[in-house]
Amino acid sequence: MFVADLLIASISALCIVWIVSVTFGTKGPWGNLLWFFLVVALFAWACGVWLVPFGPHWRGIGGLPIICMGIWIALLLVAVSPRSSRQRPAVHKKTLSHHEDVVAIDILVWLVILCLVIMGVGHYAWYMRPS
Amino acid sequence: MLLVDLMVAVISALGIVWIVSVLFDTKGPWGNLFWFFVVVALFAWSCGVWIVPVGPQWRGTGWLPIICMGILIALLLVAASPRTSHKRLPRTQQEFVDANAVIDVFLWICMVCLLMFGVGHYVWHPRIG
Repeated sequence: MFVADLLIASISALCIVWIVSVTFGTKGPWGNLLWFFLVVALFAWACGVWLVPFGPHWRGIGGLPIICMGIWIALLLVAVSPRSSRQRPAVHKKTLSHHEDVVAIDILVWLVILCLVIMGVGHYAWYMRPS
Repeated sequence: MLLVDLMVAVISALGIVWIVSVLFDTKGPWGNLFWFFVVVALFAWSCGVWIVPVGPQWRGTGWLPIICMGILIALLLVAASPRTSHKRLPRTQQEFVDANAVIDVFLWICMVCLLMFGVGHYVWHPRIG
């Protein structure tokens, strides 16, 4: 169970990190794909295994919660990362002192928020919690 | 149930964001405490309610998973945020650091917490099914 969960988390994190890094032109908040992958994989595994099992099962292992968790965390990290698709003008960067580290609130932050709201509301719509 | 879950998430996120912003001298990755709070509260609620109910309950709501989720996300965001407590590198490396968060103790704390959270699942909670 433990090894299978970890394997699913690692493989899904690899795919997710690869897809978002190519799509959004980013290496994550730490400018390093390895760290980006490690954090996404760890979050996907550690939080995914705690979620209520839903979706298809294979040999008693439900991979969907782990994959969902990986996607949310990857999206959140992309939202706080410098991205090539959101270039800052070079001259402007020099004039900024304190605020140049601050990340803009763009469409991705709204996407993360929307996903979270759907996930939260979906819990009440699709899953009856045991009392 | 929804209202109680949301209330727990909002109150715990308020507390968590206030504590980490004071402790680590940061306003989150967006330089704005409001957005920091909104993201932590939303993650705490939407992921917390999906976690298997563990720990003590209040009005039918297991508040521990919601608070744990809030703490984890706040830690992750602090690790990916600019902080005044960051030791700045020499001027030649300044540009790189400006564009990227620093791999420091906060990231390690976040990863250790995650490891404990994950391993704890196998130790304390027998999987359903």
